[in-house]
Amino acid sequence: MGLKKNFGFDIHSGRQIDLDRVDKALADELSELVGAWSACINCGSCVATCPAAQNGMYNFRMLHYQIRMRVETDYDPSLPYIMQRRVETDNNLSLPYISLEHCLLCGKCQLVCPRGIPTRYLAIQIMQKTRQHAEGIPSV
Amino acid sequence: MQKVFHPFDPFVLLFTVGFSFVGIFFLYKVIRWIERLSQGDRELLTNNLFTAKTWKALGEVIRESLLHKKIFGINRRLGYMHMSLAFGWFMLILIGNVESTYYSGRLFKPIYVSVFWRFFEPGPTFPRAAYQPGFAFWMDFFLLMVLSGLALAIVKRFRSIWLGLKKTTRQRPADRWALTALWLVFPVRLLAESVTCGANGTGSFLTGSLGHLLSSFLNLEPLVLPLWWSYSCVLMIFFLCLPFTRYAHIPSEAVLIFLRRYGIRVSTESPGYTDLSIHACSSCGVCIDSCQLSDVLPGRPIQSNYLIKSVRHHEYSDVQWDCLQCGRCEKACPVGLELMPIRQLSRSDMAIGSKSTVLGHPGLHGQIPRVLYFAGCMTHLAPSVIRSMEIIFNQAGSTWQFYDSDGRACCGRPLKLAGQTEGANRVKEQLQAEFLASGAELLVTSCPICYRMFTEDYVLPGMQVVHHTQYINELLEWERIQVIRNNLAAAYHEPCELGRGSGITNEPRQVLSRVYKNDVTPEIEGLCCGGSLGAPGLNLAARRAVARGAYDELTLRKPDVLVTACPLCKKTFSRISEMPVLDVAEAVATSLTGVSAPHEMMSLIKTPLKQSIVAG
Repeated sequence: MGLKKNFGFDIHSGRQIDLDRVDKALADELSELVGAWSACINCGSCVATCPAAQNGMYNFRMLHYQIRMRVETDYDPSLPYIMQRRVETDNNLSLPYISLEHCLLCGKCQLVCPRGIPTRYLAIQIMQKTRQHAEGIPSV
Repeated sequence: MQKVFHPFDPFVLLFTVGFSFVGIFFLYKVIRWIERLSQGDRELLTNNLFTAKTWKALGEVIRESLLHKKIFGINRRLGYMHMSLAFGWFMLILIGNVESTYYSGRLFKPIYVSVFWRFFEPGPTFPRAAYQPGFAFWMDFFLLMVLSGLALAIVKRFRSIWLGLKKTTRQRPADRWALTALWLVFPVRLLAESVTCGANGTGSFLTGSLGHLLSSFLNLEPLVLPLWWSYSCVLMIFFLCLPFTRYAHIPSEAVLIFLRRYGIRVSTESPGYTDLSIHACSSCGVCIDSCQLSDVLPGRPIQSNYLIKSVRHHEYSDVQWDCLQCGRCEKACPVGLELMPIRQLSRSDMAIGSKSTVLGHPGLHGQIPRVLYFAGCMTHLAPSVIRSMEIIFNQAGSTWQFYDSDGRACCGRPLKLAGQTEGANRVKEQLQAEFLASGAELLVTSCPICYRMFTEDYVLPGMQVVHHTQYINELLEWERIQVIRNNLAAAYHEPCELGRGSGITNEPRQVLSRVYKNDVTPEIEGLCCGGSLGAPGLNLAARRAVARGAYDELTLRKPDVLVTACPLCKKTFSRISEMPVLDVAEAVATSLTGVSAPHEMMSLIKTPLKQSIVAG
């Protein structure tokens, strides 16, 4: 019985992404709006310089990945971003939106981005689009 | 027996319909504008209504709405064009009224009587009063003035550069209708009056001569009535279009001037005033010329008058994210509209997102500092500025602490610029409380963006906020630090948020005059470097083009070094500059007496400054 005690750790669900199930609509829409986004090499410079990321609640690079791969997380606001548990996604894409609330839009990421991606604009667009998708508003 | 005087003809009905429509519409609008003011703004209105402010506002209405003094400052021909149309037309109405009152002996009469007075009473036949040729002369004089303004307006449509504007505004269909009607009003009036005068052998130098000329080969009698019908008809079309076009500025601007004099400003709480401001835009096109993006992205409707049009007609587009918010148009605007707040408000209409923003708590340590240093996000990307400030603080012997040494804090202005007012307020509340808890007397920041936020939005009683250029200037004046002047020529790039935005223009120049022998700053209105946080949507190529344009202007007089006072400007120019781009703090820190700048700082400064310092 003692072994079943909750240690505060958990076994992660599989990290494999089922590409057949990936819905890329949002990613495509954003790529169209911010063309330079497709040049992203996931280097993480944006996160390294991000003031909001220092609080552990926001990770811009991870957010890109989640939108591209439609990986969803059970969002637990008491835990830092990196410790959030991943789950398979359905249509409800709330995490990017929730975590973006921590974005200060300061634009440092844009200045350090080696690929010249307008990350600040991208963040604004993600805020708008994820909200629209979450509310089921068809995009124009 | 005296003739009973009832001037009327069916054609006046067209004019009366149009005029009544405008009158009722604007009465409704004014009520709505005042209704939608916040409680505080309404109190401002009622408290100031019977004070000297009303007289001052009246003076401003005459100066700006009629005489267009500010536009004269931009270009004299353009000023004359606006003045002749507004003032000339106003005088026609005024003199026409006095004339009709004089001859008819009636103060109260339908408005159309004075408008069509020449039709009802073409010449010196009316028995009530002695004929005064002066009226006809001045009516002709002001009609000529309006017609000359009209000629300039037509020239402006096709060759705007002659009136000092590189581009004119693109029109909406309703604007075109109103414009065509307006252009027709005065030539038709000239014809109608001339034909009437010609048929009766009256009129002054303009209508009289033209009438005389026409009557020499035409039978004018049958033309009189159709021409007055046409005149009434174009007036009606113009009046019917007016409320829905840019010509709505004619009545709106006057209302705006009064409310502005009473101290009302654009804010979220008073949508009525914002709506009034939007109606007061005359779409004159001055903002297009002052905008650096007009050349970089030609044809893209970014400029303020297009924003105002899109807000007015509820057409939101992504184009508006391209604006740099440098404030050049706001400074140039002859109507004095608060264009930047209007844009921020329109962005907050579009913004969906950031609601809660949690900042870190850096926390201060040790003794209470007298000086709190807030570098700002961008300064953390220009670490040599922070190093310079450290050197200067230590050299001056200040008791200071570095508030955001861990780079976590943000002032909130970037959120505000993106229209995320709520998020910006949260950041503000938190930072404000921490600043006050620190017990410091002076808050020094290196970032003009933060400086503007701290001074405009934060409430920090007992704490003075200064930009580091002001702080350094004070230190130099009190000889807390001393610098050696070198032989170089420097050009100062004035950051938008610092110069135009916060009015700090002299201090940086004063500091530079102590460090550099020559000041070769060009005498132009401050340009945007293109790095602005105001334009999230602007792509890299356009930003570079803006930066290049500004750089070329700034380096016209061949400086050895380009100096600025904003880390973002420094970073933007560094990418394209062939000469060293320094912050004022760096320029001072590397010229201090009694302290040698650390090696790593010297390596940041490229030749020829380095050579000069090493040699000197």
